[in-house]
Amino acid sequence: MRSVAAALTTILVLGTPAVSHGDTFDPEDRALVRVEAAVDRALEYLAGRQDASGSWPQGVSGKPNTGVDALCLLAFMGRGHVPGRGPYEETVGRAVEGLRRSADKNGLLVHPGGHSHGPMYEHALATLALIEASGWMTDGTLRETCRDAVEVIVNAQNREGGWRYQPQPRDADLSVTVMQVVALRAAQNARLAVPEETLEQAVRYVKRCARPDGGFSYQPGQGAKDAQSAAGALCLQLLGTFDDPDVTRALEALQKRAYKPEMDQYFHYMNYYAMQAHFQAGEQAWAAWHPRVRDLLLESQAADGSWPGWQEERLNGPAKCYSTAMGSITLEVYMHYLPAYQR
Amino acid sequence: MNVAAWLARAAGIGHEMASRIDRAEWHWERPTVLVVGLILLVPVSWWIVRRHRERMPWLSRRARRALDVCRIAVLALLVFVLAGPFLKLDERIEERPVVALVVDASESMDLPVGPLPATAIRDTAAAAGFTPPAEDDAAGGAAMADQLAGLTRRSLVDAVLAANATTTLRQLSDRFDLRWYSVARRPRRTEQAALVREPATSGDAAPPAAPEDDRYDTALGEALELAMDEASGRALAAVVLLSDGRSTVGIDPLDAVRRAADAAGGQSRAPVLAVPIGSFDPPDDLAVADVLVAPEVALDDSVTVNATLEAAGFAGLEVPVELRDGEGTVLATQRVTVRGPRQRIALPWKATRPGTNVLTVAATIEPTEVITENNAVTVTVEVSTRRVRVLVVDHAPRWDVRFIDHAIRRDTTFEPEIVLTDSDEDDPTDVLPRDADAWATFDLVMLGDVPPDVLDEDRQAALVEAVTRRGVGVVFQPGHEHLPRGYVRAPLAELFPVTVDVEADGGAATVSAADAQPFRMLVTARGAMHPAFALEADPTRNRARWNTMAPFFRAAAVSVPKPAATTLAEIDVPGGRCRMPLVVEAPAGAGRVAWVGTDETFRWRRNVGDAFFWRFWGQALRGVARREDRPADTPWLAVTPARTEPGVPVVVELNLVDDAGQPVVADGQQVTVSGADADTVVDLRPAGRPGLYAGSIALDALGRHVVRHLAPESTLGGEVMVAAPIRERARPGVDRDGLESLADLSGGSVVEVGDIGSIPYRITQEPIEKGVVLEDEVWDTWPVLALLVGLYCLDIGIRRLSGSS
Repeated sequence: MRSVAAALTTILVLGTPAVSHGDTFDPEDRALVRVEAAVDRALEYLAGRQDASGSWPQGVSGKPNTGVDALCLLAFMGRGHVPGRGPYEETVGRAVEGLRRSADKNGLLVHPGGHSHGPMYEHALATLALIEASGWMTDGTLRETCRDAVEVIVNAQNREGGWRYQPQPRDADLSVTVMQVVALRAAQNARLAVPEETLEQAVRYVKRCARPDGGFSYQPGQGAKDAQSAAGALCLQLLGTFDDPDVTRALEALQKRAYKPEMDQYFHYMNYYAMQAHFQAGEQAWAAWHPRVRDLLLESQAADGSWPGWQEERLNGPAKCYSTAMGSITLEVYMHYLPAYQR
Repeated sequence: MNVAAWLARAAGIGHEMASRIDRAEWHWERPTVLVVGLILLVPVSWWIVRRHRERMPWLSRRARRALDVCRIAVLALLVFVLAGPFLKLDERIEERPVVALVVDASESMDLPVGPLPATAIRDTAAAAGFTPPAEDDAAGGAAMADQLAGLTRRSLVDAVLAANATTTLRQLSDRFDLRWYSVARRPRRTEQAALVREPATSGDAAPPAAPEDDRYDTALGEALELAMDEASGRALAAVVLLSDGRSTVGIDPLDAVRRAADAAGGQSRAPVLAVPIGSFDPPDDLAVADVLVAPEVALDDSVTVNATLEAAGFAGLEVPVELRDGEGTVLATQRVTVRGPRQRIALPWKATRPGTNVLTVAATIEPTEVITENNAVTVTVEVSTRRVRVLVVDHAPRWDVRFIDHAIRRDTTFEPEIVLTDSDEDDPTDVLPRDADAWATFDLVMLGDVPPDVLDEDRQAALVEAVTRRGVGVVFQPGHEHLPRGYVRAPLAELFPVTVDVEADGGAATVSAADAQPFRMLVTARGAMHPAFALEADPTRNRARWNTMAPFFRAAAVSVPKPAATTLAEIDVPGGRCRMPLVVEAPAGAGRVAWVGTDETFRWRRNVGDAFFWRFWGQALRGVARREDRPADTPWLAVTPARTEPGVPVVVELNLVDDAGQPVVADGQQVTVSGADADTVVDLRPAGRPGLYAGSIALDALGRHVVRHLAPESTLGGEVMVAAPIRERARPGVDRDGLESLADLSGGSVVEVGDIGSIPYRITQEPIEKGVVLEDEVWDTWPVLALLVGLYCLDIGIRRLSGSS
C-alpha cells in the first residue's frame, strides 16, 4: 500500500459473513456460546460510543467516517440486530440514517467534511451496510440510495477491472477492488442491477494480482502479503471461482503462517478476510483456520468488550470502535446472519 | 356405615351431615321460643286436661288421657318446630395432597441396567430388596454388581417397587393420595397392583408393562401433563418419575412443566423427583444415531446421506459403515475410525430409481455390543421425476427471501422463479401471472410482503381460483408493510388460514416483542409431527432443536386459525390471553395454504447456516405444493408411507377407471391387508374426485403386509413394511441431563435408586386442613310431619269414636 491513509481505510473492510462451524450442527455448542457472549459484549461497547448523529469515533480526527460507521452497523446486523427490531433498534436506526444522510448528489457515501482515507473504501463499506439494511426498510428511498451508490461503484471501475481510492476510473489496487466487489455481490443478492461485465472485469484484475508462488499482491507485479492474499481469495470466491488454484494456494500459504497479531500490520483486516475466505473454501479449510482466530479473539478481548487495535491502532488512533467492530464481524462469521456472505 | 348415620339418612338428614352424624351437634335456632314454649306448655297442658275432664265427662278415663296426650303432644311439637332445631357440624378436615408415581413402561426399559458405580451397589441392592454384600466383601460386591447390571431396567423397577411396597410406598400412601401412572407411547392412569409385582429374577423375563404397539415410544411430557391435569383442584405434592429419561414422543417434558408453571402464575405446579433407572455409563455400543437426507430429491441427483455415528467405548476401532438400499445391496461404504462419542459420516448416493427409496445406514455389529438394534437406521427418500415449480414473490429483498433465493436454487427438487417487485430486474406488471391458468403453471406460490397495488384484485382472484380449483399451494410470509393488512378486505384474504387482527399495533397488523423478551416459537404437538418441522430424525433431539431456536421480535397479528386449519407453531404474546398462531396450515379447496407469521426465520441459521433453515423451508414448501404424481386416468393403488411402525396409520389410496378411462364412481371400495397375523378388510371412501378412494389402517404386526383391492378380477395391489422403531434403543445410556433439567426446572431433585427411601422425606407438602361447616334443619323432615299427622289422626279418631265431634 502506498500510504498510511490508504492502509487505514483498507482496514475498514467489509461486513459479516455466514458460515458453518464445521465441527458440529449444534447451535448450542459451548465454543459458539462463548463467541456469542464475546460479540454481545463488543456490541455493548460500541452502542455506548455512538454519537447522536449515528457515527462512531475513529480516533484519528474528530470527524465522522462512513467506513467506521458502516463497519459498526454491520457488526450489529451480523449479530441479528436488524433495523426496527430488538434491543439495538435505536442504535441501528441512527446508524442507517447517518449513512443515508452522507450521500452526496452523485450517490457517493462519504460524510460531507468527514474524515476520509480514500472515499471508495468508505463508500464500498457504506454501500454494503445500507444494502443489508434495505431488506428491513421498505420505504423505497433507501433502495434508491443503494441504487445510486452501486452506480458510483460501477462507474468508477477502471479499464483493468479494478478500483482505486477516488471515484474515478484511473488506476487500481486489490484492496479497494475487493471491497467494491463485496458491495456489488451484496447488491446482486438484493436484486439491484449490476452489469455482469463489471464483475467479469473484476475477476480478471484480481487474477492479475495473484502470485504464481501463492498469495496475492496489492497491485500486479508486487510481492504477496497476508492481508492481500486473504482479500484476493475471498474476492475470487465471491465472484464464483471457488475452485481457482490461486484461491487454494493463497489459503494454504496463510495456513502455514504463524498466526498472531504481529503477522500483518493490518491484522484485523487480514483476519476478517481470511475467516471469510476459509469459510467459503469449505469444511476442511475452515476447520484448519477458524479455531485459531476464535481462540485469539476470545483471549484478547478486553473486559469492556473492546478489542485492541494492535498495529492498526497507529492508523486508527486510540478509539477502539474500528477494531471492536472488526473483531465482532470476524466472529460473526459463525452466526450466518448477513445475507451478503452466505455460501 | 354405622347405625346412627343410617338412621339420620333415613330420617331425611343430608348425606354429608348423616355420614358425620356422630360429630354433629344439636342446636336451636330460636332457643327463647323453646324455653318460653315449654314453660307455657305446662299451664296449657293443665288447662287442656282440666277442660277435657269438664267438657267430656262421658268419655272413659283412658280415652280422655289419650286425647290429652294428643293435644299436648301437638302443642309440644309446635314448640319444637318453632324453636327451629338443627344439626351443626363444625370441624377441620385434612385433605391429602396428590403424589403421582409415574413408571416408564416403554421398550427402553427392557435394556439392561448396565454397570452401576461401585458406590451405588450396596444402596441399590438394598433398595431392590437384595441382600447387600458386606462392605469388606469384594467378591460379593462384584457379584452383586454383575447381578444388578444384568437386570433389565424394568426388572429393577419391579424389584424396587416390590421391596418398598410396605415401607416407602406405604408412607407415601399414608400421607398422600398416591396415584399410579405408567407411560409409554401414551400415559395411562393405573392401579398399584398393576405396577407393584414380583420382580423377574433374570435379565428380561419381566413381561412388558405396556401393550405391544405402545411400547416403542415414551411420552414423558404427556405423562406429566396427565398427572397434573388429573390433580386439578388438589394440591400436587410431587411427581415421582421412575424412568431412564428418554422421552421420544409428544410434548417436551420441560415444556409440560413450563406450561403448568405458566398456568399457575409462574409457580412450579409440582416438583419432579426423578429416579434414574439404569447406568449413566452405557455399555460398549455403536449406534447410528440419526440419518439426515433430503426427504425428496430429483431423479439422477447426487445426494449426500449424512449419518451420525455415536460410540460408547471402541475408541480407535475402525468401523465399516454401509449405505444399503431396500434390497440390501451395498451402495456405499466408509471405514470410520472411532474418534469420540459422536462423529458425522457422509455417504454418497445417486438417486437413480424414481419413487420411494428405502435407504439403510448400518454400522458393523461388534461382538461385544449388548445392543445391536441401534446399529442401523432406515429412512425413505422420495425420488421425484418432476420438480416443484415455485414462484416466490416479495417486494423488498428481506433477509429471509435472500437466503431462500440461494437455497432454493441449489435444491434440485425445485424449479424456482423469484420476483422482487421492488428490484431493478423485474417489472411486476409483466412478471406476475394475470389469470388462473398462468398461476397454475406453478405448483406453489410463496407470497411475501407484496403491495396490493402490485398484486391487484384481478390477480388475487385468479390466484384464489388457481388454488381452490387447480390445487396450487400458497405459502404466506407476511411482513409489516403490506401483507396482511393491505389484503384484509381483498380476495386474497379468502386464502389466509388465519383471522388477521387488523387493529393490532395501530393498524399495522403486527405484534412486536419487548426488547428484553423476544418471541420464542412453540411448536405444537401437531407441529412436532408435521414433516416441515422434522429437523432431526430423533424426536428428542428434534424437540430440543426447536426449543433452542433463536427468538425473534415481530410477527403478524392474528387472532385464531380458521376452521379446518392446523396450528403448527405459536407464540406467547405479552398481555395476550392465549397463544397466537404463528405457523398454520390449511386446505383450500383443491390446494393447500400455509402461513409463516414472521419474516425472521433467518435467525434459524444461527451458528449452523442453512442446515435447519432450509430443511424447514424446503419441507414446508414441498408439503404445500400441488402434487400430480399419480395420474387420474389410469387405475392404481398406493400405500403411503411404504414403511411404517406399529400403531402408526398408513393411507391407502385407490384410483379406479373403467376400460374407457372414465372414473368408476361408487359409495366405496374395499382392500384386504394381509400380514403375519391375519387379513384385515379396510373400507375406502370417495376422496376428492371421482374414481379416487382413500382409507387408513394402523398395523401392529411387524413385517411385510400386502394390500390388495378386494374386487373380482382386480389385480391392483401394494405393500407396506411395518418395522419396529429403534428410538427407544438408539441411546442406551440414561438421559441424566434430561432428568436433572426436569428436576431443576420443576423445583424437584434427582433421587438415586438407592436413596428411594428418602422420597417421603423430600416431599415437604403436608395435608391441608380445611374447615367444614354444615347445618341441617331437623324439624323440616318427614318424621316430624308423620308424627304430626299421626297425632292429628289419633285425636280425630278418638273424638269420632266417642261421638264428641
